[in-house]
Amino acid sequence: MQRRQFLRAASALGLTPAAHAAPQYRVVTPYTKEGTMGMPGLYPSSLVSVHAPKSFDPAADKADPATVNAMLDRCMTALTGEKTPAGAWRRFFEPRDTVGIKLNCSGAPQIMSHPSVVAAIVKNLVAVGVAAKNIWLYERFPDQVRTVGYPSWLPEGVNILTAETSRGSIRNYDPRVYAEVNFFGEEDTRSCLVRLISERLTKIINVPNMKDHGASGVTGCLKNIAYGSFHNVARSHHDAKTNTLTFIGTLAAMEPLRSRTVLHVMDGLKGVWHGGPFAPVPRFRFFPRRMIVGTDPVAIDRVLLDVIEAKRKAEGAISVWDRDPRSLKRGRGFRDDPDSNNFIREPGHIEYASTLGLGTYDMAKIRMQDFRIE
Amino acid sequence: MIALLLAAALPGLIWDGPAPGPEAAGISRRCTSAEAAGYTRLPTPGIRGRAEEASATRQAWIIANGWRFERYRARNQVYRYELPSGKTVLAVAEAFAWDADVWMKIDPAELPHFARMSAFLRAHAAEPMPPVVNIGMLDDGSPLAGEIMNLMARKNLLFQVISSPEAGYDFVFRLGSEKPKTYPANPADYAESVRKQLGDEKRAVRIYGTSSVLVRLTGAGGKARLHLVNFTQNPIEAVRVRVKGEWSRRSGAAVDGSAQPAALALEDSVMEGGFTEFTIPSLPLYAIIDLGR
Repeated sequence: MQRRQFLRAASALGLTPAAHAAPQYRVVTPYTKEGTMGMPGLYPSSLVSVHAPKSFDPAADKADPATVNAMLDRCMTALTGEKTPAGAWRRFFEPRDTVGIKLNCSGAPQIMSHPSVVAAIVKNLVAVGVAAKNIWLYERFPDQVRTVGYPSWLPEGVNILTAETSRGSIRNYDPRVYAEVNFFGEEDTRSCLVRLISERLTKIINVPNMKDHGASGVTGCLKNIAYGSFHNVARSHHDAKTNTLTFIGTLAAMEPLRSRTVLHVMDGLKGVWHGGPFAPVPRFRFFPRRMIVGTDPVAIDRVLLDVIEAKRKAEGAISVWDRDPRSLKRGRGFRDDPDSNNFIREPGHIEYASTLGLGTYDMAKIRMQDFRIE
Repeated sequence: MIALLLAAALPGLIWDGPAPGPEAAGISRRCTSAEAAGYTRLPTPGIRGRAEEASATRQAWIIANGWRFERYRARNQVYRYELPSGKTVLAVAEAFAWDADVWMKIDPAELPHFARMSAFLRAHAAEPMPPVVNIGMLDDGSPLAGEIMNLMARKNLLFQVISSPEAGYDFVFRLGSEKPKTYPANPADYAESVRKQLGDEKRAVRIYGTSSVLVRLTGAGGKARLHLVNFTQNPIEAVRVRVKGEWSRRSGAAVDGSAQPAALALEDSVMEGGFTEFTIPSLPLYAIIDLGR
C-alpha cells in the first residue's frame, strides 16, 4: 500500500506576489523519512566556504586538482570539526553505502560540476571504503554529460547514469514516486523520481554550480537536486510564468530524495551571472574559484543568492528579484541582454524551501566559516 | 459468432489491380475505387511536426480519426482512406481500435503489412464490448463541436456522442442552446474546461510519458479491452497507463510498424483506489491489452 501524502502549497505564505496562485501538489511515495542525515542534515544552518585563487585558471580553462582537493579537505574538516578528511567523510559515509553524486551538466561543457571536484569527492569516498562500483554519478541528459569527459578523471568501476537515454523517456524513473500537479493544462501531470535514487542509492552528494537561472533566479543546491532528480519538470514554466517558487522545494522535500541527500558541495570554480542555467555567452561567465560545503541546501543557496546578485549589480544588470513585466524578453533577446528576464523569476523558491523544513534562510542564523587558500 | 462480427470490423481493401494479390494474401473483403467512391474520405493519420512552435510540453500535433468515428457512429457511416506509403498499419490500427467501418486504398507494396495486420486482429478477436467513457457529448453538429471532440480525443478525454442528457456519465458536455455569445479564441479552452470539470482523478484512462498515444477502452461483465495507438509509428520507450478498474488479470499483444508481432510487457503494476496502473517498457505501433478480474 502506498503512503499518500497530500500537500497543499502554502498559498498564504505571501513570499512573493506570485504566491497567491500556488498550485496544488499531490505527492505520492511509499517512502518515509530515513535516519537523521537528510536535508537539512547533520549540520543545519552551517556551511564552510573556501576561496582559492589558484583553483582555476580561466585563461587556460583548467582547474588545479591539488588545490581543489585542498579546498574540499578544508571544507569537510571545518564543517565536521574532524582533524582529518577521512574522519570527516566517515561522519557521512560507510563502506556499505551506495553513493550517488548528483552532477549539474546543464551548462556543459562550459559550466558544470567540474570533473576535478567530482574526482576529489570520489577519491574521498573510496578512501573511506566505498567501493568504486558503488559510486554513481547521475544526471538526466546524456548529451550534456558526454561533453565533459568524466570517465578519464575517475577510478575504474565508477558508474555514470543518465536517466533519459531517449529524451523524454520515463523508463529510468520510478512510477511509484512522483509529484502530480497541473500547471498549465499539460496532459502529463506527473514528475517521477530517478529510479536509481529510490532503488539503489543509500546516500547522495549534490554538486551544483554557482549559476544565475532565468526561471528560478539562481540555480544551486535546491534546484539541482530537485529538477535534476525528477522528470517532466520544464513544464513548470510557460510564457512569462514559472512555478519554480513552490515546485523546487516540493520536489526536494520528497522522500526518499530528502533523506538520502546528505551533503552538498557547491562547485564555484566557474559560474554564470546571466542567462543560466546554460552558458552560451562567454561574457556572462565568471570565476568565483570558490567552494561551499554543507548539509543545509537552503543556507548554501541563500549565500549563492548574494553571490549572484552582487555580481549582477557589479555588472550593472537588473536584480534577480526584478519582477517588472517590461524587463521580459524571450529567447535570444534574453540570452544576450542582462537587463532582461526570460520569466518573472522566483528566487523566493529558497525561502519557500525553508518553510518545508529543508534548511535555514535567515542570514542572521546561518553560520559560515570562510577560508582562503593561496 | 465472433468471426462474423470481426469480419465486419476488419478494414476492407480498395484494390483496382488484379485480384490474385489480395486473394493470395487471404484478404477477401475488398472493393474497387469506383465502388468506394461514395464513402467518406478520411485524413491520413499520423503526426505533423510543429517545430516552429515551442511549448513546454513539446506536444505533437496528432492527426487522428477516432473522434470522427465516435461522432458519426450512430449514422453507421462508411469511410475510406487513400493512404500514402508507410501508413497502412497505423490506419488499420486506428480503424480497428475505434470499431469503424473502413475501406482503405494502400500502397500495393504494403499488401503484406495489411495481410499481417488482418491476421493479427483475427487472432485477437473478442466479443464486442461497449465503450467505457467519462463524457457524454451533446453534439450540435457544428464545426466547433467537432473541433472540441478532436481536441478531447487528443487528450484521451474519452467521450461518447449522445442525443439527449443521460445518466451514467461523469460529465455531460452541452454545446448548442447554451453556447456562449463569444467563443474562446481557442477551442482547446473548451477541452481543457471539460477536463477541469471532470477532474483527472475520474478519467477512465490516463497516459503518462508521451502525448502521442491515443486510446480507446471498451468493457463489460468484468472484462475490458484497452487499445493503444502510437501515432509516432516508432517504438516509445516507457508508457505509463492508468486505467479505471482494479484488474488483476492483464495480458497484451502488439504489432510494430510493419505489422510484425512485437513483445509487450506490463511492468510496475499497481492496483489502488479503483484504478490499475502499469508501465509498457516499449510500446510499438499498436497494442491491445485485455483486462480481467
